[in-house]
Amino acid sequence: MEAFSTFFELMAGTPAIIGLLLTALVIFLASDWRLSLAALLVQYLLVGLALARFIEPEVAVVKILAGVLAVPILYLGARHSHQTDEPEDSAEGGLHLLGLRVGWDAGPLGLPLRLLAVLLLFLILVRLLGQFQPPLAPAGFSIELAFVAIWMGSMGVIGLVLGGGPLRSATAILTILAGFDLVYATLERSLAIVGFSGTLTLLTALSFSYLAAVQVVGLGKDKPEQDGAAP
Amino acid sequence: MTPVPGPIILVALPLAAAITTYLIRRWAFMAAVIAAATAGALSLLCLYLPLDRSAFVLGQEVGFGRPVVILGRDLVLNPGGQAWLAFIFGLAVVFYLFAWRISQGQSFTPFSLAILGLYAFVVLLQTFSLAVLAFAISVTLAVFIIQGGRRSSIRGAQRYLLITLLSVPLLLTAAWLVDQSLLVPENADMARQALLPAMLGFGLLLAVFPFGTWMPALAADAPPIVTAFIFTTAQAMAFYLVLDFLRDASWMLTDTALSTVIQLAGLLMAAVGGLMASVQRDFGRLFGYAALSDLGYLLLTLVMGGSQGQVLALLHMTNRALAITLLAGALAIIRHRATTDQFAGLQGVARRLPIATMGLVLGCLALAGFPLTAGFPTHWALGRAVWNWALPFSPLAQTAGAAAGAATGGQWAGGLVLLTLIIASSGIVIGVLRGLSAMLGAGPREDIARQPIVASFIVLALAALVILLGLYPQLFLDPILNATEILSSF
Repeated sequence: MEAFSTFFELMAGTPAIIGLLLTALVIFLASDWRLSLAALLVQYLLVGLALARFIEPEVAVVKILAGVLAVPILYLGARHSHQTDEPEDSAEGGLHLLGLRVGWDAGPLGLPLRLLAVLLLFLILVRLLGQFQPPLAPAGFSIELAFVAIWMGSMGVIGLVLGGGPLRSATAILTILAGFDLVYATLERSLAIVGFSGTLTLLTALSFSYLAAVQVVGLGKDKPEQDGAAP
Repeated sequence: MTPVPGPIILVALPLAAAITTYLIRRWAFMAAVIAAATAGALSLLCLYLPLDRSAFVLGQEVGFGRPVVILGRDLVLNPGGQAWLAFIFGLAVVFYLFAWRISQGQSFTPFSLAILGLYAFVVLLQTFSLAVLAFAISVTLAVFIIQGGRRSSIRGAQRYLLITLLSVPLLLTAAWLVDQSLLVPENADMARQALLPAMLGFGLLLAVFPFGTWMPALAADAPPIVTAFIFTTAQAMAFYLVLDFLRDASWMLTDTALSTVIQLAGLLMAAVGGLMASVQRDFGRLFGYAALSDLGYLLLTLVMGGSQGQVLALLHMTNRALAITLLAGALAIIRHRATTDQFAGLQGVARRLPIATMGLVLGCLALAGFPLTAGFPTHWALGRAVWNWALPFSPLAQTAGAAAGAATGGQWAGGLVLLTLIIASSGIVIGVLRGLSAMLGAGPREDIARQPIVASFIVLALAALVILLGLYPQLFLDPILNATEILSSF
């Protein structure tokens, strides 16, 4: 038991923080929905793990549960609509990595631009990190956690700006909310807030899953209208 | 016998009705009757039941103002919230009557009732952070009614959901900063730091320029009554959250930078909405841009209405809700009968559906602030306020202590603002005239069924009310003044 506790404490520190940086990066870069959802799942586990150092373990478990339940909800929607959410350029020739075209002619949503955006963001955050003064640092509040939260938020915002289908938007907005939760949970300990934000996570996943599914159903239904048969 | 607490009724009744109507959603009449009766009863309870003592309703003692504790939180109905809920539940009655005759999707009745229950929860919660989260939860449910028509385009629903969810972290941060500044006097300067996240968060929530792009997209995608539900009740709740936040951060109202930003954003919204409305080719998007432009007016009335700003804003919100409901009702009939709202596909529809066409035109004109419509009084009052501001030696300019040189600058700025507002209103009028011209073209369309009696009757009643409020704007003034008094003390 003691060995487990030691391992847990070790994992909740730097490895969790590095893991969160990487999962946010994968969610932003990957266009394959399976990879994005897997990264999102790991991200929620790591958020709970990182938070366990600052809040009650039971609350951290609730946060993990909400996130872990949100991922299968999104998975169901993605499975239903995978044909529309598949990257359009995956059918074309050329080299692909993480489901994205790698060549410099890949266009605005391709990997080169995304990597460039990541690099720029990283440099900005590292520059700002030295000057960052949290308005009120509670006991145990770590600057690393704040950095990860800002990183996740920024990755999510750029992901939203670069756009995509409902599943890409879902993973981006859930990354933003998870990043915010990473700091907010240490500041606001109310159980009601934990419950409400967990419900919001689940319903957000459900809404995006529904949107992904309805897009496919609607496409089938709209076809006759496009052909001019319905009126 | 212990009186039934009001908060329980306000939350549980819509949720129970939501479950019932979900089970019988295939019987549109029954579902609409239950939904309309529930919303109507709750609106009446909010209007007439006192908060300071118990009252008997159908032989049952009800303590409407009695607090309840749920999940460790006090749920209390205050007078401001009571007035707000009466307005929202009252509007919902009209929507359900429309939904009975012209289907807005089977999910509309149950999900909108659940959303109304959540709105009641938002009003009853005493913690701003929880209220924001409850409102965001209601928006996730709204997605299901927006896509009720099962259109392939999900742009409107997705943008609305994303914009609202993005506002959550900002608003929670702002609320936390304000709370800390109130709890610990040494952290008083933290309240200033709340200004930026609050401004951005509420900007997102209220669809302030440039975050309002979801409005035309939603109006194009969603069934018209659902659009009206979002544009009136959901935006009224967002406005309520603003007032709730300002209760603890009232100093923000006196911040000149904030009022300048709101003024500029409102003006841009009015102008962009009006100009875009003039070039649309379908009534759905025209509706969205007209509503966006009108929302800009709402923001402007709040900051430029001087001492009467809050009264004007509430009056504008009421009139706007009426105009939007009329426009949505008429558009619902046209989309239902003609199966399209594209100008090109509506040739000759005006002669077949004259009442719906009249409602559509009147609703758009009211949103543009055209004389003799409900939108005119507040547009006129705002125009007067801008004019006074523009005059070099007006009482307003003198009380502000402006020098003659500065007043001349103000005159130019005021003239420009006035011109922008006129262009914004003209844009909506041009847009609707283009649509009307298309609808009047060619002979009457025999392939389109005649206008539905009940829905047309509701449109007629709403149109009459829109004209009546244009002729007698003081009709709603007393309740609005009462509501303003209550809200300023809350």
